[in-house]
Amino acid sequence: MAIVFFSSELEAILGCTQLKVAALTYRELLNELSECLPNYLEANLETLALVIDGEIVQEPFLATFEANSELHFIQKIAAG
Amino acid sequence: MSEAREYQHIGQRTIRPDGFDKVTGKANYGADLSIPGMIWGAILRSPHAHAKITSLDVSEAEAHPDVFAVATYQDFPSVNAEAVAAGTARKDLFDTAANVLADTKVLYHGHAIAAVAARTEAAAQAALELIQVAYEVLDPVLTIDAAIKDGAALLHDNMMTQGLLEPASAASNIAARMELKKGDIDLGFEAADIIVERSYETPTVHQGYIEPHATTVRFDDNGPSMIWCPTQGHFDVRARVAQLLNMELGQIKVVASEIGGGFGGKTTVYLEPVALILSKKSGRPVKMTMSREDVFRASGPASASQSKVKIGAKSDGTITAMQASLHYEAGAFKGSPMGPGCMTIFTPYDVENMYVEGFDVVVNKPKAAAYRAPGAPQAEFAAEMAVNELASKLGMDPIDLRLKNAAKEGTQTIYGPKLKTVGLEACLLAAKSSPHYQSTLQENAGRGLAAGFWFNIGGQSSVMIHLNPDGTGSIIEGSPDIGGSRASMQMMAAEVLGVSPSTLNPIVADTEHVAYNQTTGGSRTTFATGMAVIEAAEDIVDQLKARAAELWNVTPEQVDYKNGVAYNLSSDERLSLAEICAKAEKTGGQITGRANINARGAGPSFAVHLCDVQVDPETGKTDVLRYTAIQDAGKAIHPSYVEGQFQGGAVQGIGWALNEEYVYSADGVMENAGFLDYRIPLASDLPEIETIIVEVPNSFHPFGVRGVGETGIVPPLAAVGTAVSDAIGLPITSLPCSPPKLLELIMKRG
Amino acid sequence: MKTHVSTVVNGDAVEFLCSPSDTLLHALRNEIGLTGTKEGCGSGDCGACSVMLDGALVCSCLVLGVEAQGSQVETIEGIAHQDKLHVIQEKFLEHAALQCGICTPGLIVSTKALLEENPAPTEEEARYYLAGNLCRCTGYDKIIKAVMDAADVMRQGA
Repeated sequence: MAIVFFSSELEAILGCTQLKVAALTYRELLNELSECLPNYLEANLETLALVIDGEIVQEPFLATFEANSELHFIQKIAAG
Repeated sequence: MSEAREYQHIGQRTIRPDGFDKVTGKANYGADLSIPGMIWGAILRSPHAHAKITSLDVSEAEAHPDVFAVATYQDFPSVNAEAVAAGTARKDLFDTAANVLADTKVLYHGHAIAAVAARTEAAAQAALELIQVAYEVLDPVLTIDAAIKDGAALLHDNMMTQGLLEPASAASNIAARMELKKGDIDLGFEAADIIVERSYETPTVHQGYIEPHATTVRFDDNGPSMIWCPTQGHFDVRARVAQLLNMELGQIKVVASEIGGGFGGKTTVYLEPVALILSKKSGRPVKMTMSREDVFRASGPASASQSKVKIGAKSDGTITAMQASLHYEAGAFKGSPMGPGCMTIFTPYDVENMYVEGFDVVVNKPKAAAYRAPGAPQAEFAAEMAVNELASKLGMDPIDLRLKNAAKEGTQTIYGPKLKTVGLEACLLAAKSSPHYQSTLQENAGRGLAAGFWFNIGGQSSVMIHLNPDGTGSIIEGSPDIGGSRASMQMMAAEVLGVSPSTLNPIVADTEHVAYNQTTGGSRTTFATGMAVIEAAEDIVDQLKARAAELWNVTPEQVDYKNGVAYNLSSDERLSLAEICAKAEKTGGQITGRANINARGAGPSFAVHLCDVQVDPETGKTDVLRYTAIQDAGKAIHPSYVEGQFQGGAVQGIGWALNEEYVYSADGVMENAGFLDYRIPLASDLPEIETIIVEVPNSFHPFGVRGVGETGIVPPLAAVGTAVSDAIGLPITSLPCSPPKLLELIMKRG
Repeated sequence: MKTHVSTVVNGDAVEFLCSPSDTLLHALRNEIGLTGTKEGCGSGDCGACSVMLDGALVCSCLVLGVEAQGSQVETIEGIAHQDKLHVIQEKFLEHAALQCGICTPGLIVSTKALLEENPAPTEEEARYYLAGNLCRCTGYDKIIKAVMDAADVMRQGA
């Protein structure tokens, strides 16, 4: 199963630091998290970028990953 | 994907395609467009740093015969009193609108209040004096300390701190707090044999682009209105103006003029929406320009900061804990780069236990804008100074200390993901063996070294490549070219197509002639728009093969294409790109390749800088004696422009470290709003800036590109700061190391 | 009340009207239409508006338009001969001595003045002569290399 890690900020909202998920796509991931995390909506995960095995995906809507992937939600990075 | 390969064009030093126009004065920048019937706009700016506007009367100005139109906040249909009363106001636009034209308060000296358009530039300026404004002057809040102390005057009565563990109970000047952690910071410090702890501060500085903001616009009810302006992101100018004026995207065409520097400061709007309102009201094209003074007082500064850093290490140099608390000035409205500051500060280190908290603080200064690796120079200055102090206390070489703790592939960052392949160790090793580091330091001089990190980003880019019947072509892209990116687009397309770069003309198209492109920033253009160029060129190669197959009456699989020539694998026939184009009419019409991508896989770029300085004990003036910038480019497409990015970033950082700062009077007026007194580095201030390009390819880019624009400004603050500290034998905790400040330190030392 | 001014710009006889307070920079850009000369500060601190006025290097933002009466003005537009670039322009391109290019016209005019005064400057002399021309993009390194290279080529050609 893929594993999602939450930053300390997200941990404060969601109440956990990591979670194993059966999802293999971003859409499945959000569905799964919305079902198992009570404060899902407050975390605004869909506004964040997704990091898949170290690769930052700014717009992950169509992203897919592997069954053993490591996933992180991070702020989208804008810059000068 | 990125195995060592031989390139024909990539890595060469070609002449940039826009160069001829730029050395002959033909290139048109923001202030260079005039159109028939055009009138001039001017802006009335606040004489106070913090005040309520109790009344604003523009009737006398409106009645003046030379005046064609007047604009105020009430002219923004998205946020004005009417929209608020109707409940349709767009809350997300309040700050942008109120920064462009103040609503009920002015929040910094120079804050725009109203605008007029008149027959001439002089008439517009004169008409400003006819506008009557009454103010209730409030206490200016000019520093982080003043903003966060109890009883501080509030800039925004309703601003509640976001990101607190318990929701805020009262309004404050702290817009947001954020926290990042990894491991157990207390255990980390318990495991340490030695601890370094210090506070640092950096001043408000300006991006200092030489071209002031300027725009020429023409409102048109029947077709798209036109906005001409120098911007890093014309699609985002279009989006912002459309939102503010309740227009559809298709009703606005933004033309990105040549741009005279930006460095992050031209990623937002100031004049454009105001000029369009004036044009709409007057029925005339309108031109507006900022003076240099306006640029300093009312555009883009980079946040001042206060940072506390604490680092623990074992006596063998293994760092066990890194902790920081960072405060950033956002200026008048929330949104400093505190977030990226927190995320970047310790990324050069592979350390188990880390803790960072950050605060975004509003003060009565212009709203901070992005500046090259926004947030990172301030934070990493503090971290790198402390790491150098640690090295000195441990008696370790600062490169060895960093090598022992360097971030590498697999390092868990504090913001979440593990790093992929990165070039920090390669940069440190290159620094160690560099002629500069091997050289003996001059007498009475000091040496400093620092590392730096920036993420780099990908994002959306759209490109078309059209081929002409003779085989020449044009590359239609939409990333404003701020430092030579058209040259690299040309080279990448030429590499894929196997033709000479000069046969392909790269064009930064307006918002009507190419699909959306994200703003030029985040060091994304050569990476992401480059990827789109490569994909569009590959699309062309596929079409060329199909066309050749038609001509030979074979299948496309029987055609190979390399170095600009199609080969019929079932005979010895061949056709050049130009020959296939010449026959395009027979095989289905002309050839266009296209790519619309949302690029993933941007590769972080690390850098290491070395600096030698000498400080004159009589005057406190610092001379930079030698400087070397070493950075991982992934792959340098055009090495000269990559070196140029390293050098330019280094020198902006040297300016930040040695001289540049906003100097304020007690009532919040910037006292040095000109290039004479806000002194950016001159040619005579500097030595040669030596460069070493390290190339650790980014596996996600076809050629290995990482992006190089931003990282170069991160290390210099601490490299210079440490060199100065080394030269005078005293700790440096506050930038800039300006002559009066150093002289005071030297006198105290005796 | 506007003043009628007759002058010579890049060898062409030119006439324009200007207010007594208008700068030569304003006249060049807005009356004559030569926008190659840039405004970076309007106070003589950045050198983006450098032009030659009767053989002297000046910031055109510090000269009044009426002062050009009867003078010879040379701007960036007069440095190349049609499509044939001046050596200084060629060297700026070869050495990638520009990024955004806004300071480039002023720097090229100033470099030409430098090399006319001093055909064999040391690097330090070049750096001090060009200290009135601000560049924010390049860190000056490649500009100085271009200037030194141009000086070499021009000496050999002389």
